[in-house]
Amino acid sequence: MAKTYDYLFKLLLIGDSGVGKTCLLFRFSEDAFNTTFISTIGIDFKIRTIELDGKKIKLQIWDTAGQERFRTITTAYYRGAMGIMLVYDITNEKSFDNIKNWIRNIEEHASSDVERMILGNKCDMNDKRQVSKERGEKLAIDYGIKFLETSAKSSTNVEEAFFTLARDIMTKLNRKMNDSNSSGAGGPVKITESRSKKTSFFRC
Amino acid sequence: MESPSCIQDEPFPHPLEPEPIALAQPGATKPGDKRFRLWYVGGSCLDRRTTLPMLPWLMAEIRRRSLKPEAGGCGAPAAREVLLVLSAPFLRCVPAPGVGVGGGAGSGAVQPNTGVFIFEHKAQHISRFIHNSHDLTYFAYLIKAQPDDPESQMACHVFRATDPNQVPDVISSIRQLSKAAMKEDAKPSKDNEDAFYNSQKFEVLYCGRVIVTHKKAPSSLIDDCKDKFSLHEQQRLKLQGERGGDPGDGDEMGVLEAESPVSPDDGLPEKPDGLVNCPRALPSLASLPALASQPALASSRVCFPERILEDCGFDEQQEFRSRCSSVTGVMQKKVHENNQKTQPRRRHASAPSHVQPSDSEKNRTMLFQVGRFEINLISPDTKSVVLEKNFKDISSCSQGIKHVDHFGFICRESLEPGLSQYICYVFQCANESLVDEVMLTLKQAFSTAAALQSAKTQIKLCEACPMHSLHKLCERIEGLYPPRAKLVIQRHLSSLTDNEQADIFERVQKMKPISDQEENELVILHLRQLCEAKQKTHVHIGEGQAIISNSTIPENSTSGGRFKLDVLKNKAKRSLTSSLENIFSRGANRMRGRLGSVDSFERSNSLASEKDFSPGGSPPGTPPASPLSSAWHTFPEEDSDSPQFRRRAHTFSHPPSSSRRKLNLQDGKAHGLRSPLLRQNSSEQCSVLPSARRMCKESNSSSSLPSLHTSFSAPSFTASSFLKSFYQSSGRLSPQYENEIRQDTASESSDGEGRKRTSSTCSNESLSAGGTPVTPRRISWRQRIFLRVASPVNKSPSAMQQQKDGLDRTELLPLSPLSPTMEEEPLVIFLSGDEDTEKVEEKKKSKEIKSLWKKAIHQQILLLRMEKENQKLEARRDELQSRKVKLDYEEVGTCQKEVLIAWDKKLLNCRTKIRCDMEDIHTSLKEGVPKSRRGEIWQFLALQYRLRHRLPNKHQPPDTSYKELLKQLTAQQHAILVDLGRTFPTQPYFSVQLGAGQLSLFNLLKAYSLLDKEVGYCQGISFVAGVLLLHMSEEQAFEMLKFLMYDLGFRKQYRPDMMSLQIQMYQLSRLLHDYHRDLYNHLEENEISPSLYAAPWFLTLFASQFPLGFVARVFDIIFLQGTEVIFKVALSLLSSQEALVMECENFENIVEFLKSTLPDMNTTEMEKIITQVFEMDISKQLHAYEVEYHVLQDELLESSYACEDNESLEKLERANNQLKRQNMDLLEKLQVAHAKIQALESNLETLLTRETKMKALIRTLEQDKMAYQKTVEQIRKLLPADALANCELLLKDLSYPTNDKAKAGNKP
Repeated sequence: MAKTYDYLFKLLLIGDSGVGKTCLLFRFSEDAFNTTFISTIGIDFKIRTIELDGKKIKLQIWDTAGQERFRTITTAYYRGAMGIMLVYDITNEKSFDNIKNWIRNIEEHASSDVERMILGNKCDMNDKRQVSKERGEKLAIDYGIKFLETSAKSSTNVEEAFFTLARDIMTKLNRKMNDSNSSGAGGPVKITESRSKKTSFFRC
Repeated sequence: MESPSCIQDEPFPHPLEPEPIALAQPGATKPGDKRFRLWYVGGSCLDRRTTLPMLPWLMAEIRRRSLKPEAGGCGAPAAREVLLVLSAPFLRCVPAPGVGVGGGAGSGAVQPNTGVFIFEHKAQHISRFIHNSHDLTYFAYLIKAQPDDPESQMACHVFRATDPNQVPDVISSIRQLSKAAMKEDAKPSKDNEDAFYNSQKFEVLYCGRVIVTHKKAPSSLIDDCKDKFSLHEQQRLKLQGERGGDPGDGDEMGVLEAESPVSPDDGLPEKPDGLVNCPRALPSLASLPALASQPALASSRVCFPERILEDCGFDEQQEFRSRCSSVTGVMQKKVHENNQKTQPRRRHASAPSHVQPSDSEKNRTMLFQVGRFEINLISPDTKSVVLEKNFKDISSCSQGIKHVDHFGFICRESLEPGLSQYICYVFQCANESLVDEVMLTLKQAFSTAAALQSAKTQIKLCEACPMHSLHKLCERIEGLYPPRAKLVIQRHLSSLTDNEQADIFERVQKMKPISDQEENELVILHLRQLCEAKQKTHVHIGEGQAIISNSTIPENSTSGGRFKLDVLKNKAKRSLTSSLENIFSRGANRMRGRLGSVDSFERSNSLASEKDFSPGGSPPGTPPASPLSSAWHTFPEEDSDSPQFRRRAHTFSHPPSSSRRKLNLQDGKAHGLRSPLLRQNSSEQCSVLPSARRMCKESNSSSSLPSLHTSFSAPSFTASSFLKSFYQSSGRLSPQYENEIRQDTASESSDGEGRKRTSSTCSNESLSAGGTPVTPRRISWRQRIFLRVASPVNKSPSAMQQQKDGLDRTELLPLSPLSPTMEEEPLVIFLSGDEDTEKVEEKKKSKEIKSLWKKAIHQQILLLRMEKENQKLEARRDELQSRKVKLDYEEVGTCQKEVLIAWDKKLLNCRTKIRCDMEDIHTSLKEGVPKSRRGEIWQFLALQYRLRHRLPNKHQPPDTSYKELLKQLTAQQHAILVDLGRTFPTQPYFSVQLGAGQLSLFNLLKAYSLLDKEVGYCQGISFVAGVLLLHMSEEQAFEMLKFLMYDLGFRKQYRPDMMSLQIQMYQLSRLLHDYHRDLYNHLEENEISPSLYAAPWFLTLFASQFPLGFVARVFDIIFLQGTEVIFKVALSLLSSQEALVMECENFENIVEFLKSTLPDMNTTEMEKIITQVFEMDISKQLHAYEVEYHVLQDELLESSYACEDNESLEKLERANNQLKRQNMDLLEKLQVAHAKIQALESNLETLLTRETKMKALIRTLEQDKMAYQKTVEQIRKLLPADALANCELLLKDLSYPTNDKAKAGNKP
């Protein structure tokens, strides 16, 4: 089958259990909200192709299980991610405090140049808010990454979040290609697909 | 006068060609629901000051966005086909079935799912509708984005219908839905979805409660209560030891010291009954003879201080006993009354009994739920709400200072009208951080509730507001031709700054408008964005009065005359609105915003909807909450408590205040003027309406509740409020309502507390028999129960007649227990008193009185028997209904009757614990398992397995009982509570939030997490536990879960390191490699490892993704064969779909197929897979592959060791080289040194040799010298004197060479 896209971006959603990662992904890929979701066990992914600056970008978005013991399984997919979204729940302060642990986890297992973003989900439940927007912004500033408050239920800032992350990845990619050109490597190199390398027990 | 043309060209083509889609008829699939098939064009967020004239331009903007989707837009990128589902009280927009979803998602059709929606609103929050005049198929509505936030923006959603005639139908249906929702909001019902989505839950241990003197809490309150509880526990144990373990006295101590409410399950001795019921006995004592009333009244008065006192020592206890003995005589006469009086006390028990009972007695763990306006305490044991407190009643919350894992709150409880006391409830959490979280949640909830009740801020507008100028512009160009409107817009733009004009002009030109209308729309679009941005930084001009706006949706005129008529009509409307506005302004004494004016105009318009909920209005003012301190929180303040108390006093017998307050808020939003009138009407209604009519209204409200509960597992608090309403209106229900309520009560009660309420219901029904004529149906029902518990007294016809009279007399007596809650009762009691007096006068004979007492006792006994029998029947019915709900899944393969009989025989053998033939069981399982007996069969299979495989002692689970585990707090509570709603969310038993199913699941998961500390709770176990709960009771499910985890060894895969799961993924990969090489290669080429698709299969035993019928069959085989069944099912699944998987060409399609398409097999394929699983045997291979995995792991480790050795070798070599170089240098230096040494040694030797020679010479010379001296002496003796002179000359010659030799000898 001929490729129908120009770039493939792999994004990863991580965060505590119950913060709404799967709901965010479903809202972005299907533009709907589901009240009967089951808990994510293991890993899952969805596809959506967007258009950015005239280019077709296929977003492969991976959804992970949030419980801590699943990190041994889900961290295997950190290496291949080009963008990672750290999600917390504004009505649950503990999930916000754990963002630091998740960031440490990323620094340990993901690529050093991975693009990151913090999302505070469930912002439609303002009456149950436990984490103010200012605190979220401050944390993002401390780590030098972007921040948005979203709501998968009321469809607030969900498109903005994914588009922003994709645009940042595209910007970084273009900068790399420019650097490659300036170093005299020849013509521009078009990256059509980037796959994560898989460790196989049969190849040592 | 200008007149617009009749026909106006369509400015935009339709986004899609009109399709011959049949119009969906209302109420197609679900009774009460209406569905409309529409196109959703898009939505947008707006400033809350948006007015009516702006809306047509806004709709045009949204349509433009849908035609040319932009990245990162607020709404959907393109128009999509949707179903608008109107089901009270929600309006829900769901994707239309059978239509592919855009945006690059799956190519297959999206199946309809009741839980999936694009957005949903409460219908009453929709503020207004817009109907486009250019294209009749377009319409939109406005709604607040966040209805609870007065500062929130508005949202606009635009739809397009397939037929212009459909639009009025949709709009009117939504309006009807809004009205119905408004009516339902007035009822005291809970919103389940909101309750789940908005409430936070914590697992707490209930410690006890204490009556306090006032509502303010000292900082050490919790610690004091805790110490008191500990002291009480010690005293209780001490007393038990002293009095030989008499539980009655222990209970008495408990009642006295902490004054806890009586538990329904406890049988208290007589004296505490007397104490507890003293206040309630007060009204009924009026009917006693004057002679006996004096001591009773005295003792009643004394009882009040007793209850209020916090500390009660032994001396006071003794004093109390003496007081009790003084009223013994009176109590004996009223024993039956006391027995009846205990009923309401038990029925209204608001919390578990016993302050700090020991762990072995009761399960004190509760779920502490913080809602939006109340706190609920839910007992997972009884599956009911045991305590419900509104925030208004809670005065303070605090955390222990010494006991930091404890917290409590003080709330007001009203025992009698006008009299209230303050009680402190104390709880314990698992650790301090959880208490901090609870306190934070409570603080947040109090702030939110206070904010909602406080006055909403008004939308401020002034003459210079940018939005106001935009409004005026839209108003001016309303109904104008595009070219003329363009001129007006240009004139307006000239008033902006040059930069703004240039910016707008550039942006409009960039979009290349085609026509004047399009250009106008683009200009308005950018102008609106500019105005909204400027509005945020705008500062209002003083308090200038806003100009009243007059506007309406533009109408399409057909003739000049009609246009003139419309102009005149608008003028008249403006004039009328102006005068009305002046009246409203003066009446409300409040300035209103622009939207309020528009609403006012709409109300005068006959086309406007009856009720409007725009934020312009203001509800009656409520004092704002005081700032909350960090240590403990007080809400509301004492000053604000007084007016609330007065308000409550007026409306004491009305429905719950929260719903009434909500109603006030809703009415207040409509307009401020009506609010004081409404309050006056409410007050008049309170004073004028007789209580009977109020009771009828309440009964009507409560009787309509049954129709709202479609599932049996309705929340217990709903049943509680429903039954409370029923009790209040007892004796006044018509037979029709009574029948409905009885059925609903039967279906809703599924626990002990429900049975207690059912018992009370029977009592009340017997009450109604005295008040209303007995209907044949009721006689029939009671006759059946009566006959079942018939007593020998029935045999005699004369006794039968006497019993009827006695029954009538007995039924009058239970009226007394309800007297405190009914205002009419004093009159009834008075009449009853008169009647009693007459009877006493008529029958003074002791014999007659004695016979009456006997009859009363017999009737009471009979009534109790009937109640017990009814309880049994109700419980049986509840159980059957519960099983029906649980087993509501489609079975894979139906069972034959012969198989059923065979299983019955086997299950009989199960009781004797005989080891059965495995082949026989195998054959029976193949033929199928009856759904109704699956739970018993699983237990039978587990027993057989244990008989054959004895688990080593060190692998046995800890021997703790299920009930003991339930009494403890688990550290995994958050993870479990989060997953309760995400386990089988579409299954009726588990879909009710905090219903019986979810609470049972919580109990089971909690117990296991406490039993197995290593595993705790892992996501995935909830599905396994859920399947077990569907087929058996909680305790049985717990035993089966233990069996699966320990005996079959499933717990390995749930350990925190997830190592076993990695091994399983490897084993599955190897099995695929052996059995289905092509499929294996295909997956490998696309880099798909089993962890991508098979992890949920293993961790939930296929329960999370596959149909329940299939899962049940898999469980059947697992109980027979163990863990290898998972591998066999996985292999069979993959092999059955191998061809389809091979057709998938890339990574995404394969994974999508395995995750989504594979579970949707049909029944035939499922049966085929089950058959294959029975015939497969892979246990040896599994073992071999596990060994292989470990070997590979070891090899990987060794290779890593080898790599490490190589690196160290290189380092060593480098070091060695350096050392070698150093060594060579040192060797060279050494050689040089050696050479020097040798040279020096040789020199030394030569010198020594010379020394030796010199010494030898010296000796010879000395010898020669001696010889010469001897010769000289001889010569002197022999020679004459002349010869001596010659000799001296010779001696001189000899002495000269001797000196030279001596000098040469000295040199060396």
